[in-house]
Amino acid sequence: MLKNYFKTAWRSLRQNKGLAFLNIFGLAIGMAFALLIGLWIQYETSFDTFHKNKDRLAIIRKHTKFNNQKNTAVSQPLPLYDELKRNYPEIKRLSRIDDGTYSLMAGNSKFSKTGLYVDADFLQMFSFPLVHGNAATALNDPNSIVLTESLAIALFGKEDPIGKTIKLDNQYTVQVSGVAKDVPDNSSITFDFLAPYAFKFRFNRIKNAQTQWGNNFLMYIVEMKEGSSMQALSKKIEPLVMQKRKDGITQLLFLQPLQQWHLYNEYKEWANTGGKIEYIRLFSIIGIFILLIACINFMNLSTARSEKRAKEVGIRKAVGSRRIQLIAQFLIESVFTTFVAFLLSILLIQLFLPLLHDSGFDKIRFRFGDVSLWASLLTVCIITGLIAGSYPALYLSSFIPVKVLKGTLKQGVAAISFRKALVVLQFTISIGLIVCTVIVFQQIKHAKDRNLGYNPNNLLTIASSNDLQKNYEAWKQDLLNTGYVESVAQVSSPLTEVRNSWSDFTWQGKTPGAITSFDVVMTDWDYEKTAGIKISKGRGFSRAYKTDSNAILINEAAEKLIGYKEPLGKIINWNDEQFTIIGVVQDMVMRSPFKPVSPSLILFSNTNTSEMLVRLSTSADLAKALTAIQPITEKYNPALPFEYKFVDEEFGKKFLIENQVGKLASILAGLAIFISCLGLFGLTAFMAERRTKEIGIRKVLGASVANLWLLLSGEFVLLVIIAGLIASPLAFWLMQDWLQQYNYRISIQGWVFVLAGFLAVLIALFTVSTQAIKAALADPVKSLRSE
Amino acid sequence: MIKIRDLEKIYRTEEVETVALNKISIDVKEGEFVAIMGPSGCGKSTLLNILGLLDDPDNGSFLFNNIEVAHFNERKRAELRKHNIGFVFQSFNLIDELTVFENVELPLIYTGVKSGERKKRVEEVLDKMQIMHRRNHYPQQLSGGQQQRVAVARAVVNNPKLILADEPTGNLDSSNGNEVMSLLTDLNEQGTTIIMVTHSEHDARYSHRIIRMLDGQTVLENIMV
Repeated sequence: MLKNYFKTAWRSLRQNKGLAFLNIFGLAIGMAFALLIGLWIQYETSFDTFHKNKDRLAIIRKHTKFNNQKNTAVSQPLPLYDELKRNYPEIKRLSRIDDGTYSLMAGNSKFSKTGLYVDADFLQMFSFPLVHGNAATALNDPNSIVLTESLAIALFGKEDPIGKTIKLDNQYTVQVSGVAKDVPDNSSITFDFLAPYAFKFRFNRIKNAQTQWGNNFLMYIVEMKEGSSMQALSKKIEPLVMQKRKDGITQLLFLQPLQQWHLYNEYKEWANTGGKIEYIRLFSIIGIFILLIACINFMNLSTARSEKRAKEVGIRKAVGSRRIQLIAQFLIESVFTTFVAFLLSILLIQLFLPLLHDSGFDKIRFRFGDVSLWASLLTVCIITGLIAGSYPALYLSSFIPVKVLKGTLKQGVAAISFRKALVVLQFTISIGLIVCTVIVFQQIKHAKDRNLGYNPNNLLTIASSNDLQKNYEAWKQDLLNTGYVESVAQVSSPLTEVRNSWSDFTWQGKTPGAITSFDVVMTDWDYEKTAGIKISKGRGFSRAYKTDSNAILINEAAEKLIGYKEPLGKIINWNDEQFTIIGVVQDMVMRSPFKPVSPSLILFSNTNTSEMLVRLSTSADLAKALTAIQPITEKYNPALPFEYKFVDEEFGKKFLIENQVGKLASILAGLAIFISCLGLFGLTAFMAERRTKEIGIRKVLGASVANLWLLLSGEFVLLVIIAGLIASPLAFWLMQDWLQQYNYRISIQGWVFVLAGFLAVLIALFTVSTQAIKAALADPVKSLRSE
Repeated sequence: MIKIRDLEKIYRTEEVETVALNKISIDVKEGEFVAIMGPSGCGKSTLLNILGLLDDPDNGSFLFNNIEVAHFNERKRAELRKHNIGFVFQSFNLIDELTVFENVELPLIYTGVKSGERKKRVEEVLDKMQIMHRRNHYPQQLSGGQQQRVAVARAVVNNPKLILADEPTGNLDSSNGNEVMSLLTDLNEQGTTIIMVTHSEHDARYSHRIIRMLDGQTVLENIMV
């Protein structure tokens, strides 16, 4: 019997090639994107799950309250380590993590790579297996280093790297004690090399930090003992920092399971508000919707041509088929069609995947050898086939043989209404997606167009080093002499990052007990000029004023917080130091472009800098300028390869997720409307075919092509308008909710809905018009004769 | 074999009520060849559909081999139909997507006959109907007469006790029509009961008995000599 069903299905596809194409192509596109989203979700949810101890690993986070704002951070003070090691038996292993970019030299090879300074437990806590060396001892010696396989090969080629020495930052000699497998893509912790945290204790800054409970710069990961409760320990460590600091500043420690790190990394008002998981949920729904739109096409086209299948149903029933057997037959047929579409979708995935690289799919691979992947894909295929075939199967199998064999069957109002409802559903989803896409891009543009308070164009950031700091003045002068460079400044953090947040400032008139925190930038002369910062009051640092070593610039947000109406000349204290306010600068967007600017202070210091800012002349040819800068930088900075970042590009990275979401949403919106139109195209063709006689009579009676076009198209346009009316409030509600995560956000405007609706109507009208006009132009004599 | 008593069938729409069968009573013995005649709309086809268990009566009794089947559910009707009844329609009603062989094979599939046995029986009946050489053709590739022969082959392949023929020659020329009638007569001579609805006096003469209907009732019965 199955053979008979497959035979009928295959021949039915072959005999109705147009319909088969619309069904299979629509389903294939829908399935391809649904599967791609599935692969993306599988990848995103696989983060950090490869660690053997994954259930017992947790990151230490901290809720804080400064400037009356509740925040959640990962940076912790150094003395926390000893405290946790000594007094908390629930902790089996513990590691600090301090990351940074460092230069590594071996022979003639030199690289600038990301390294993590971690504790000896690290390699036993995490599943980063060593291919050479012993995980238990590799990080015991403070002067040891563990390289990833790629870095080991880059530095030493095919030679055995164990025992080889490397010059770190052109200053410290370390010895390779292990080689780890490259970090998998789905790891939140990434590195090119690992070094023992003990190495850092040679620096005074670190030595001093051993007693500073207010100096937060380290990340901590704990591994719980088997059987210990993460929740109980989280509660237990909550007051630890406050007990040690005793200054009344609210700082509450807690544990977040490592497996949640990637997907649930956002907090608002101390509550976890999700993070990437929100997008996973959103795109899961969209993926299902896209598949549903394709399934609806199948349902509509199958039931629209039901009059053609009716005879077969009648015959099969007459010769003894039961309804359940017919349902099974039609379901098998739809699963069969879906399977053909599935094979095509695998091809489409290969075709689309490279085009989606900048939409967050760059790490997604279709692994042909993965049996479990195939099993889940086939499950999706079968479920899709069953969903797509469900309504047609129930509808077709319900035909009464007497009627269909006599040819008196006409489609009921209920079936036609249901089909219309499905078209409305398709366009509701499509219009909703168009609205969402427009709003996402509006929000991105809104933040991009924001006044940044500095000029990110023609501005380079070059990582500093001991050599570059030592030779700073000569390097700077040589750069200026090239004629391509307008100005140079050294600074403690890039313009797009905040690396220092200090809380111990006081000033006259400060409300007693007020807990404040300022972002701090340390720099020297020419910073305002190089960064393109606008000074709204006073002046910038100047060589003409010798007292400027104790001068301070504040931003407008800081001015507001401090509360001075005339801040110039006023004093701000920090520990034993006094700073005089010499200027107020416009707020600079260094953190999230979607959030208000934090109060910031710019201190004069040329010893705590880690980045160099280089402003190119506006007229400079970029390639020539870089060619001129490279040899000069390499001359003064021999340990590091010449690497630079454009500030505007770095700022652009802050929109990474929003851009990915926007691009993906626009692709999916385009797809949704395309698949919907495929269905509409088929449906109009059937409608026109069914109404051939009516069209013929109307033509004979004097109807013009325009009249007939309106007759056939008007109905569908009305459906799309209804869809627009349903989609608008839903999309408004969804996007209003999405925008809540941004403090700096747009307000949704009515024209977006009108535009999306108009666009959908226009596309739908174009789709149905091709068929409607074709039917209207047909010779009425032929159509009447054929009837 | 068939005994119907006071059978009623009324078609209702929102505004109109049409009595298709008005308390009709008929008996058909096993091995009989009965023709039903009457003007269009007199209820012949409705009667045939009820006899074929494709439709339900509203009232009355229908005994098939002494079993009351008037209100059988869908499953029981399908079961009884596939083992006992074969259909021949005016418009042949072959499935366009299946070949001649596959169309004839269909009833055997639904009665669960094994593949080897099916092949044997289909070939036998195709041979008997002299369309073996067309076994791999599709219905659209055959003439009307050939299509009706395939339809008859499909109706008899399961060796049904009863064949219901609804104007079997209505779409055929006289030569093909006569051929089909000869086939039905042969089948009847071999023991199959045949009930045929027809407008043709010529075809009706092949039967043993003619039942004439008007307005849903039998008005006359002619026994053929």
